[in-house]
Amino acid sequence: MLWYKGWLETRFRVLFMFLYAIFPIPLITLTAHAVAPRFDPSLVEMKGMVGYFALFYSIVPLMLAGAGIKTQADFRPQKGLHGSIYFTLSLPVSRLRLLVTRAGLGMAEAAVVLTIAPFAIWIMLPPLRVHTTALELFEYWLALSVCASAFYFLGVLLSTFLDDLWQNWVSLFGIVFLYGLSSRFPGTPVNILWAMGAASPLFTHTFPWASMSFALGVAAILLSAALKVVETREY
Amino acid sequence: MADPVITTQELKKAFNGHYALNGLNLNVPAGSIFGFLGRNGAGKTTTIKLLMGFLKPSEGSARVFGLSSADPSAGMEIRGRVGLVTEDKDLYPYMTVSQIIGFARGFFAKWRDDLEGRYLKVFDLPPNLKIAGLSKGMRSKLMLLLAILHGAELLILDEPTEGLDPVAVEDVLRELVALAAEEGITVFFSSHQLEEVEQIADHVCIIDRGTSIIGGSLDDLKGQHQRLRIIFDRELDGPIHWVEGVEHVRQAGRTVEILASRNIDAIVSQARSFAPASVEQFPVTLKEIFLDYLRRD
Repeated sequence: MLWYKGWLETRFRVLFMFLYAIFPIPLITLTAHAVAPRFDPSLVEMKGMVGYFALFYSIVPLMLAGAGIKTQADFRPQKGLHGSIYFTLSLPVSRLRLLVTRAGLGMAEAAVVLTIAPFAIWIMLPPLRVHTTALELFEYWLALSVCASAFYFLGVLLSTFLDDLWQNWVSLFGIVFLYGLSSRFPGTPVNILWAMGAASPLFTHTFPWASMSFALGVAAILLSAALKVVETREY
Repeated sequence: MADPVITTQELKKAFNGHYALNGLNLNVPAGSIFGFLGRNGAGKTTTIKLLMGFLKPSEGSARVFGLSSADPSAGMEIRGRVGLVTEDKDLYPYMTVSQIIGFARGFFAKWRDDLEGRYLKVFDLPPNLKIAGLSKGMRSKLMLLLAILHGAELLILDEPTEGLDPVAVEDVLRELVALAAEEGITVFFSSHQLEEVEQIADHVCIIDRGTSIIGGSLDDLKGQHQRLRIIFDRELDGPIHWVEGVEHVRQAGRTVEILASRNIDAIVSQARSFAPASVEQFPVTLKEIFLDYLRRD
């Protein structure tokens, strides 16, 4: 039933993020092809473009990051939303289960929304179609989702002690900071965004195992920290 | 006396160095209807949050069904046996009444499907209405309904009748008494409505500044306390130093009113020694006890 509650709270966010994920497709296909009728970027240019798309799509997990054990707000003002945490806490359920269920649901939602990313890239960058197979599109989605889990669990951790508005702002600053930090380590596993772009299966035809492992490690640390906060926090 | 369902011992809770609770001792007997009284900020809601495990004690202990509410695993068992009506009565605004009943049903093994229709009717709750569209009073009734349906052995109610119209208040109070009498459920409720507490409670505790100032069986409290009105036919020279048992003295002109908790005969004798025009004794209401104890300082 906690899944059901989480879904009711997040369904509008999921819909909005679907629209967000689809948004670049008409934008790029209409404008790029109108501006340059022979839209034919080089491989290096495509790597750069996929890198930007990866940054664009890394917003998806941040916006779908769970609300900790708070009741998640959608985009409407809803009276009594935050006070309902006491009803949630009065259920015979551990705080760990509340958080893990909510975080698991949000990560699954983010992964589903991110299925759009490889198709969007496939549509937006016609020259890339020559180099990639359907399996590689699937591998790209998997690598993207795993790498994005680090960003997702950053949002989850922040949600355990920040309100929604602050959570989103701090998350955005956090991702910019991580982008800046990781760009100082090009070609290393620490550079998660690089693994989601130029070093992704779309170009290397193999998984960026090191970066994926690093991202999962970071995600696990962030989730552990979130659990610790939720278990010790007073409400 | 039945075993206590709730026990607190020297329970303290500090926020930023300020004690919201400062050594609270409570004993709530099983099967009782226990009124928990105090001014705003006295520590009632903090006590309830400690009992539910939302807060951790700074010092002392809080036990429900003999289990420590500060222990997370014991807290799960406590919450499985307790029904809570919170201060703000906030529930998930995006769910309908029937959706939240279906949601809550999944967490409790002893869910009372047989009572659902009855209480929806008694509390006049439309199943298809969104919670966002319910008044605070209706949300209070919905929380009470959820607590009843999950087969709670203890109801912890923070201002349960707040926002209800007089008819609904009567309905809720009647149901609380019926639950205690027929199902043996213990009801622990905080309220500012002293008449309501007096109407249904059999035990009370008055707290002030985070500590219990008086408590026990309501009948005993009312039996022990008396109001004395002493009227003099002359001005008094100065304040009288009364014998032990006088809780509160109010002097207006030639009239002195006393709330006495014990030693009544000695107090009456002392009053008569001042040769008053008259000494009258009255039974007291809970409201008088409450107001006089809180005005003692």
